[in-house]
Amino acid sequence: MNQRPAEMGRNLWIENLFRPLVVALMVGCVAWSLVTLARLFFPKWNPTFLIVGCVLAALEACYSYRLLKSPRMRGVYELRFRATELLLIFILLKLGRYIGMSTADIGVDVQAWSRDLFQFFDNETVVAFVLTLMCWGAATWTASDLESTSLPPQRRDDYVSPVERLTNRFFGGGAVLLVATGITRIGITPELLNLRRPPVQGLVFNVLVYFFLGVVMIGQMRLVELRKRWRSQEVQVDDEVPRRWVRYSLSFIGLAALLAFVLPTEFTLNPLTVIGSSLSAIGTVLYFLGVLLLTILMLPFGWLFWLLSKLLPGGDDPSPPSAQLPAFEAPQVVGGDDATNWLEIVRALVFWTVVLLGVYYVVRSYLRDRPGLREAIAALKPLRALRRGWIALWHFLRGWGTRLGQVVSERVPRWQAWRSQSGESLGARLRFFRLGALSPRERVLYYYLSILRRADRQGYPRKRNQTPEEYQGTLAPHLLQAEDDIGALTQAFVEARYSHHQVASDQERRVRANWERVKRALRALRRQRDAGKGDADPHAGKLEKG
Amino acid sequence: MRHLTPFLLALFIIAALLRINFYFTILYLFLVLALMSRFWSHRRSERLSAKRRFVNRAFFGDRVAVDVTLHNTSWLPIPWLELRESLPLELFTPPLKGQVISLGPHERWRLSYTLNCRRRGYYPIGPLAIRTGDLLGIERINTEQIPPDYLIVYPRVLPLQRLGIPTRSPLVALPARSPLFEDPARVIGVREYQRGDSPRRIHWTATASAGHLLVKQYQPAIARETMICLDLDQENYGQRQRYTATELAIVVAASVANHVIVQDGLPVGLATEAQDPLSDDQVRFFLPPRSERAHLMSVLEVLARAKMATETSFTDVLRRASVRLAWGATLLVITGSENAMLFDTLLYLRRAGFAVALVLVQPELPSDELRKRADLLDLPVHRVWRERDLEMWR
Repeated sequence: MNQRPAEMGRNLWIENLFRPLVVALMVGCVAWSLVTLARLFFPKWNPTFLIVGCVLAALEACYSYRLLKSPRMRGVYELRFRATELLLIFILLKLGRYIGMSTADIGVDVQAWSRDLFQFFDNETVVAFVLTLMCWGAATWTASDLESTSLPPQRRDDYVSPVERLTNRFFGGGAVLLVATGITRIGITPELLNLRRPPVQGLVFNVLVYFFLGVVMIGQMRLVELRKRWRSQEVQVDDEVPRRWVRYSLSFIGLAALLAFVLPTEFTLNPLTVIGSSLSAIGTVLYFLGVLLLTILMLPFGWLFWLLSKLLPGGDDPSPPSAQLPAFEAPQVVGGDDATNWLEIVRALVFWTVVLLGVYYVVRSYLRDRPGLREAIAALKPLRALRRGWIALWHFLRGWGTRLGQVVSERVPRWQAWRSQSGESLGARLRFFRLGALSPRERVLYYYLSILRRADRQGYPRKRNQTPEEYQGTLAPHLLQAEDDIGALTQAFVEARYSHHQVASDQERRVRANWERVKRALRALRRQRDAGKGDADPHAGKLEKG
Repeated sequence: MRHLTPFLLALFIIAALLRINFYFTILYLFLVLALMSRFWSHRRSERLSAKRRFVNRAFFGDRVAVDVTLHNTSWLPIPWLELRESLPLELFTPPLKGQVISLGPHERWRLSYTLNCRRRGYYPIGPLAIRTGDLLGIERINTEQIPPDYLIVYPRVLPLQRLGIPTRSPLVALPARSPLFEDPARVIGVREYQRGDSPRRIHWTATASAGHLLVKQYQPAIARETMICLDLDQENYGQRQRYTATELAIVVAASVANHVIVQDGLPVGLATEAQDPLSDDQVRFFLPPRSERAHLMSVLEVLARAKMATETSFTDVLRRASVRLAWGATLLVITGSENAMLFDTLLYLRRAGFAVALVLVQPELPSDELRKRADLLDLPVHRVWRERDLEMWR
């Protein structure tokens, strides 16, 4: 079952073809947006040749970087090569400008050079050259970082790993791409700053390609970084690892993209409108419920007063009180126009909830990885006051919940009987509904007690005088396929219950895995019993323990 | 991806300000990647089970095969797992290097290696360190450890033909002339009741027949037990060859225990004070004499774990061990050097009725003065420095 280790050699196909192509395409995606943006200022530009030029320049930069790594191409040779390279790029851009022009126009332009050499450097060509140079430079730096990923890290305080530089460049380029594309789509008009304008629909192809290729490259870089580390530590790498890596990466990214396309992006209302309208709706509903309740409560008194007034002498003959219930008025949409309906509110609510939850999760993960920053933020006075208020509110609500549980348990005999069987307080039970709120130690205790309850229901109760180890001896013979897990769970429970050892999160996760396997074994046992096989065959379904 | 969060915040702001729907799709893409990576990481650590199988007891010179099996019990694959198994250098060379594998859904992977039991001891096999992470570097690398299992390698046991230690007789318990100790299992007669006799000794049947009080008379006996008292105080061994000497002392103790139980079928016990790796503390071991094979394994297990100790009082160990022994038992004292206090204790033990023998584990021969003192006390002294010195007992 042992597999042959993989060779740690470099994959030439990836280095010579895949990476340069991907870099060139990504640069081309950014160039596309920048060129399209520049056309807003130079409408007569032919963008095609420029975009192609940027892509080719980026591709050339990747190969020239590798060529210049040769020891022969140092010093003067390198400078000469670079100068020639840039000059060629300029000339090609100049020639590319002439694509689509008539011969006469080209002749006029050439004659202009002879009169004034500076005419050779016209505005359009210079701007195109600057743009192409930027693409060329970005590709060169990227090629340099890609080459550096396989080198050992340098021992410097300010050292930044090549993968981190690549990732930062990817995000930076992405931000530029998004802004440039957005401005191009909307146009440089006052509408750009109007938050009430209709959203822009449709797929943005170059943005999609850029981010998709970027994520694929990040996955590939991750493998390179890991392999470098394994190589330095002389760790054998199985030959399945790189093969499966490509498969899993593409599947993972593809699945994520599929989910991303399914999630809602339609929204016509800004979050303030949604929040205001939601609060308005909640207020309207509460108001209606209050009025309804009051009406129902006051109705008997109304009838009583009417009867009294009929009995008393004198006065008018009032009509009996009406039993008509108040009508529900639809809540107002806050901030929207007349055409805004509640379906749009709900749709927008779903959209903003999904987005904000995602952003919240990301920020929370970011702060979790930076405890110093988290503490600094938590030390801010407004947040501390908010936290104190939240804790006080939570305790207040919990107190009400506990009191309510006590009242109910005293009034409802069946509830009382259930509580006395379980022996736990209602507060403790309610707490167990949210495992995530418990500490690792409490979760370990919960797992073990949960197994006791489940085993009890299946006819394997724990006697009052049995220690956990003794009970393990009672239960384990009936669940041979989970024997080790029962032992591990028992040991963990004893340690959590009777010692002051800290229970770490990874330890709790292992115990949780044991718990789930024991639960599965108990369920299998119950199914077998229900199927009429009696006691489970201890050898049936026994896993080769792994 | 350190700057993923700031990028996502910037993306969110750009998307909200520019109101381009497709940008939210890009935002979702990264959010889903982050969430899926997190979910995948957590499921990985929960669904990976590891098991190490091997026989956890071995004798000196054995080869122990170890199988480590990893099982991915989930339907989600694990792209990479970096494994490092820690092994004691005494049992495995060259050191086992790490390995990186990939596990598909419900896939198992097995690593096998063999340990050479070249030295006695109590060895941790493992822990197995497992590192794993996601495909994009979004989540932190998870590190888990599968706790170590322990292997006990018993000390060398040399076959001995005969033991040159004092004995009384081949019987487990033999009759003795001195009536100081009686064997309540052997009633040899009755006698008249004397003032001070315990009511339990009254022979009621005979009393009823005779009409006056008669008490049982027991046979005096002594027990043929051997207690091995092993000195592991490093100060009592020469500094330069301390390790060799203590190891040899342990071999002697193990060989004698094996011979007495297996060959003679007689009870043997062990008393020593040593550093115990199990409790990571200095511990006094006292195993009372018994003759079962399982007891022999217990003795060997203690000898396997025991390490040199410091600041022990070996004479105190001897005296306390003797308290729990039956009169007439044999004490085999194994130490690295003799001194006046030890001799006084040995004399005390002789006078208390025990048969005592001394084994000195040292390179130099016993001095003449020692021999004279030993002769006076009728105390057999044996010197052992190489394993072939045990041939005197073969």
